[in-house]
Parts: sequence; structure tokens; C-alpha cells
Amino acid sequence: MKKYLLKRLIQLPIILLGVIAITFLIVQFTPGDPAVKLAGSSARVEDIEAIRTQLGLNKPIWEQFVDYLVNVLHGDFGRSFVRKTEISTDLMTALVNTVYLIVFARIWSVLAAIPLGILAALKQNTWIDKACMGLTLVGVSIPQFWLGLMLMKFLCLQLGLFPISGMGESFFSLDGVLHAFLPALMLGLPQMASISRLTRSEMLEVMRQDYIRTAKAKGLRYKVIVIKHALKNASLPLITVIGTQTGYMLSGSVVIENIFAWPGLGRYSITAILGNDYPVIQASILLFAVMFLVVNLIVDLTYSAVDPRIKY
Amino acid sequence: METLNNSSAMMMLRKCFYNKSVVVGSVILFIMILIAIFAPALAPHDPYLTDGTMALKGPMEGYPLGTDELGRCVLSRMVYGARITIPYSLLSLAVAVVIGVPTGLLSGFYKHLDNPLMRFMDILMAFPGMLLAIAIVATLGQGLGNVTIAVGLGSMPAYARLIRGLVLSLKEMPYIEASIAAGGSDLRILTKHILPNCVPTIVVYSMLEMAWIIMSISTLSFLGIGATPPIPEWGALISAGKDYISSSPHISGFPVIFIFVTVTGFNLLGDGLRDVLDPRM
Repeated sequence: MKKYLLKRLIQLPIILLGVIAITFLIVQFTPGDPAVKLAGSSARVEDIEAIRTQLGLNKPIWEQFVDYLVNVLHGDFGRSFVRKTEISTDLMTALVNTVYLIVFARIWSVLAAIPLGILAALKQNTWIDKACMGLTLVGVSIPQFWLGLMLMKFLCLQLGLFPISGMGESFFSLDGVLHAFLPALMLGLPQMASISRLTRSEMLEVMRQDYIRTAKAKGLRYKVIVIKHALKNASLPLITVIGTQTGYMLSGSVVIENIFAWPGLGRYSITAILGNDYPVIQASILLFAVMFLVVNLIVDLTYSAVDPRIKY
Repeated sequence: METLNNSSAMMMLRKCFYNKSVVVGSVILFIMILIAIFAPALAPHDPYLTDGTMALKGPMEGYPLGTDELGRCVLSRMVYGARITIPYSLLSLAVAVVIGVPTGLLSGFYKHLDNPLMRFMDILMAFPGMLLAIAIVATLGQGLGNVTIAVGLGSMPAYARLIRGLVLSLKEMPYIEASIAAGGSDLRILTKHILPNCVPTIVVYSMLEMAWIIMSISTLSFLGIGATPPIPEWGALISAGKDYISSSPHISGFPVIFIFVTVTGFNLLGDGLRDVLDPRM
């Protein structure tokens, strides 16, 4: 275990370096001169030259990379081409908003998916099972962005139950929760679908085991058998999937945030791409990757903590 | 496949035939492909023909699914959209397979290549699939062609990983050892013995991946960084219809059905083929 931890912790900076290099290259390969873009269309040649020197664009590429690396490690991502603001400040706000949305979605989807999966497994092949599984199949095959638009139309515009888009004043007020409700619902939906399907199949597998039969023969209450004996043993693959899927929610948040105008990292990055705001694209994609790496590391570590049989 | 004789191939086919998912999935996809091929015959109108007097009309005679904001026939645009979405998704898949599979083969077969290649894949996999695609679009520029390449590159690392694992286990098989001992060249062993045994896995995984690819290309087009108007790509159609979702829900609603059906088709076929061809996955 210690050895594995050590190996992961050594690997992490290497991968991180690669990730930083790739985000650096994203800008290097883009057509056009960043100095010209930053200066604007009406700039004089001297201004462009001044910006080029200021940004270090006249240095050789490897020196630029070292500068970039040092800046990134200091948390300095430069200034936005479009909004001219300090990226690191904007980025932190966006990050907090995205994390809030993901935590919200993660909590509801797990709380809904596990009981649903257990129910479907216990009532296998009945209409309840089929309805649950049919619903989850729809959940993965319907374009999320369209579902989001429809919910917005019916629940916000027609019924007026929720604010249409954007974010509330504070996360922990009623207004804040209402604003986050629909985006979190949409973000969690595919998660709920895949986790409940997995819960069902794992529970079906476990319920066939001999020790469950023994527990039944002992006359244990059904509830105790299902929750204490079966669910506990089915939970291991669930934890892995819940963990890795949390990383994939980062991709999902890009779409959802753009539909609901949620001021998070996903909206920030797409706005930047549409506006050719390269330093912002660079910074937000880097932050996404770092978050993904961190989530996956945590998953691996909890995995071995939960199941003592796993030794790396 | 050399090892597969006629009778076992027949058995596979029969198994496929009895698998409900495979049958339903293939029928759906077959119909979709027919729609794409016969689009000019099926579409009642020119999908690009605008008509100001016919804007935002519901279903009616001559326009079975109504018209969009420029008076174009929704059915025709959807049908022609199959000619965009399906080939571009296949192209994207081809990018993933053509780069991912050889990388996996080399990485699994040659020990000294394994570490550098897989560490590079680790770095690419540090970007969640769609974000890698977005990063690549940021570099290449927006547009349907670039999105297609980007989505393909985004799903490529997973192929490399999958095939590498498979090659590592195949390499230990006695028949591979035998052909090494018999003096077969590396190229021959890789292409004649290892690759054919990877094919079922590649097929199954590709079907499931197609579902993701179609969804990603549509999503990126929806976000406005993929297909641009007037291309009738399904995601772009939904994006165009989103401003009229209250008054004319048919503009975005019908393309959604097409995406849903096609994605379900690939998911069903993939799930079914997995049961038949490759129960290990």
C-alpha cells in the first residue's frame, strides 16, 4: 500500500508536467499571433512589438515554456485577451461554482440511484424492474442538452417553479438552491442512470451467493439481509464507478453550465473558445485536467482503504 | 480469421440472430443507414431551400414535420442530417481506431515502447474525453471537420489502453509462443495472429463508442463549436431550434428523436455483441 501510494505520488507530477505541456502547446499551435490579438485591430506596430516583449513571445519556445511553467506553478495564468481581467481570480470563482454544482448532482444521484437499483434487483423481471431500467436507458441515450432545454421550458417558463438561469446570491440560501436545482438535476441524471443499472446488476450477483441463502435460512429479517449483507458487498464496484464517474461529470458540466448560464468552469471555457481567448482556454482546460487527476487519485486511494483485500 | 472455421462462424451468426439486442440494434441502424443513403428520395424538399412565407409552421400537408425559422422543411433537414451525422461519426471512429489500435498493439508487444507510449496515453487521459476534444478544437479551430478529428482523438487513448491489455494477455498464449519459436516475423505475428484476435473486442467497443461519438459531435455542434449553419447536423438542428422551443418545439424535437434512436441502436448492438462475441469485456 505504501509502495503504491509512493508510486502514484511520484507519477502525479510527471503526468502533471505533461498536462501543462499540452495546454502550453494548444496555444503554440493555434493560427495567428497572440500579440496582435491582444493589441486589437487598431494597434500600431510598436504597440504589438511592446506586447510581444512583455509576454515574452520573442524568446525561444523552450524559454517560453519554462516561463509558463513557473507562472502556472505560482498560480499566475496571465490576463484574459477579451475581458482583460486577471485569469486566476476568475478561475477560482468559476471553480467554486462548478464544484458546488458537481457536489449537489453527486449527492442526489447517488441517493436516488442506489435505492432504485436495489428495488429493481429485488423485483427482478417485474414491471417495476422493467420501468426502472427503461427509464435509465432513456437517461443515457437522450441528449442532455435538449432535456435541459425542455425542463427549462416547462418548469421555469411555464410553471415558474425555478429561476430560469444563472446563479443565486448565496449557495446556501433557498434562492441559491433553487437556481442550482435544475442544472444539478440534469448533471446527475446520466449518473443516476448508470449507477442504478450497476447497483441492480451487482445486487443480482450478490443475492445469488451462498451466504445470502444462509442468512435467509437463519431467519434474518429481509431488510437486514439486503442492507447489511448484500449491499455492503455490492458496494465495492459501486464506489469505483461513482468515483470515476465524478471525474466525467466535469465533461457534463460543460454542457449543463452553458444551457443554464451557470457561471462555472465549463461556461468560462466555452465562452473563451468562442471568443478565441487563448490564455483563458489554456488555464481552464488545465484546471479541468488537474481536477480530474485529483478525483481519480482520491478514488484509487479510497478503493484500497475500503477493501482491505486489495494490495497494490 | 484463420482459426475460425465455417461451422463456428455459423454458430456465432446464429447466436447473434437469437440475441434480441443485436437484432433490434442492427435493424435500427440498418434503417438509419438506408435513410442516409436514400435521403434525396425520402426528403420532400431541398433541405437548404429557404422560404420566408413558410417560416415556423407546424406539421401540415407537403411538410409532414413542419418548417423551421427560415421556412425550410424540418423532415428534409433531418433526413439529410443522417448524411452528415452518421458519416462524420464513422470518420471520428476511424481516427480513434487507426491511431489507437496500432498504439495498443505496439505498446503491448514491445516492452521498451510500453512505458513511453502508455505514459503519453496517461497524460491524454488526464483530460476527460470531451474536454480533450474541446482542447483540440481550441487548437485546430471550430468547425465540423475539426470537431470530428477532435472527438476521434478524444476517444483514441481508451482504444490504446484496451488493446494493449489484450495483447499482453494474448502474448502469453501457447500459439503465439509457438509462432515466435517457429521464427515468424514480428509484423506477421502482430497482423496475422494477434490482431485478428483483437477484432471482436474492437468491434464491440466501437459500437459502444459510436454512441458516445454521436452524442459528443452533436453536443459540440449544439454548443456552437461544431457544425455551423446551414449544415443540417442533428445537434446543430437542435441548437437552431432552441430559440423557438416554446412556439415551435417540432424544430428541435424531431432531431432529438433521431439522435436518441441512433444512439440507442448502437448501444443495443454493442451490448448484444458483447454478450455474443466477447463475454469477458
